[in-house]
Amino acid sequence: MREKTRDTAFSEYVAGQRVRLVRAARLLTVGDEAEAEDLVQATLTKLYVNWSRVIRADDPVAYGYRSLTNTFLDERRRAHRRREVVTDTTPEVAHPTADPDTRRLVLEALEGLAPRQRAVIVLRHFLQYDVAAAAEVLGCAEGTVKSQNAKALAHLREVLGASLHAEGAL
Amino acid sequence: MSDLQTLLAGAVDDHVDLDVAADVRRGRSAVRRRRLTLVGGIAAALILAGGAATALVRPSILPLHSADTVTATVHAGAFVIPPPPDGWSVQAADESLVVIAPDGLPKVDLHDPSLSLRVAGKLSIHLVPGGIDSPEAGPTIDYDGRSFFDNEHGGVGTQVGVREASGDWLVLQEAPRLGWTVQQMVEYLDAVVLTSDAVPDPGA
Repeated sequence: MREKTRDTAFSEYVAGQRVRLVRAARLLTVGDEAEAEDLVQATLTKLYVNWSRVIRADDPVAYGYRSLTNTFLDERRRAHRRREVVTDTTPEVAHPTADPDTRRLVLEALEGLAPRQRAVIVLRHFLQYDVAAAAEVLGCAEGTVKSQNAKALAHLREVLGASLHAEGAL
Repeated sequence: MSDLQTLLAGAVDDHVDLDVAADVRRGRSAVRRRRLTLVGGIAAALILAGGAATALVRPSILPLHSADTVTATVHAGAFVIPPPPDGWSVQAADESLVVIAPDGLPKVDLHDPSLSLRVAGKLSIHLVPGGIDSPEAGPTIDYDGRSFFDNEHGGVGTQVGVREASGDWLVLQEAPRLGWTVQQMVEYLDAVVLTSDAVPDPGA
C-alpha cells in the first residue's frame, strides 16, 4: 500500500474514532488522562503499522477497540507501568459531565475491578458490545464474558449502591 | 443508553484534542523504525554468516570527531555523547541505545517489547548491526570525512546514520519538537563516540 493512501485512510479513521477511543481508554485507566492518551497513541501506532490488516478486518472499528483493549491488558500484565510517550500537546484537564462526587465514585468503583473485568464493563456497558463481540475482542468464551460481567456488576453495585439507587442505574 | 452507560460516560471527559497529523507522524516513525530493525536483523545475519561475528561484540573504540566543536560530553551507557539540548536529558541508555527526552520524564525500560513506541518523539542514538550498504535509501551527506545517510530529509521522524569502523550503523533518530535540521543531526551524531562496551542491538 502506498504511504499516501495509508495516511489518508488512517487520518479518516483517527478523525472518526479517536474521541471514542480516548474516552474508552479513560475508563480503562480509571480517569488517568496521561495514561489514557499513552494507551491511545500506542494503539493508533499499532494500527498504522498494521494498517493492511485493519482495512481487511470485517469491522475496522472493532479492530481498533480490540487493539486498545489488548494494549491495555498487555500493559497491566507488565511489572512496570509506563506513561512517557512524548506528545506535541499537553492533554487537557478532564471536564467530566457528571458531578464530581458521582465521577469519583464511579472511578473508584472501576479501580476496584481487575483489568479484565474493567475491560468487560467498558466493552459491554460503555461501547455497548454484545456478549459475542466482547468475547471476540477479549479472545475468550462468551461464558467467560458473562461471568466476568456478573462479578464486575456485583462489585459496582456494592460500591456505587447509593448513587445507583439515586440514578436508578443497573 | 443504559443507566450504567450514563454513569460511565459522565465519569470521563468528552473533550479530546484531535491532532490527526501527530498520530500519522507517530505511525510513520514506527514503520521506519521497524524497517530499520528488519534491515538490521538481515545485516546481523549476513555478518554472522560471513564469519564476522566478532564485529557484533567487539566494536572498536573510535576517536571523537569534531572535538573542537564540543565543549563537554556526557557518558550515557556505552556512548559518550555531546550535551543534550537545553531542557533535555538522557532518559535511558545501555550498550546499544541512548534515549534523550525532555527533563522530568520517567525512565523507559529499554527491554520493553514496545520500546519503539516509547522512543517515538524523542532523540535516540541506536547502534545496529551493519553489513549492508545502507539501512535506508536516501541522500548522503559528507561531513568530517565521513558519509552520513539521511533516510527522509526534510520530513518528520528523520534518521541519519553513519557506518562505524566496526561495520555497524550508528543511527540518530530526530525528535520533531527540537526542529533540528539534517545538518544539525549529522553534526551531533558525528560527535558521538562509542566506548569498548558498545554492542549492536541484538534485537535489531
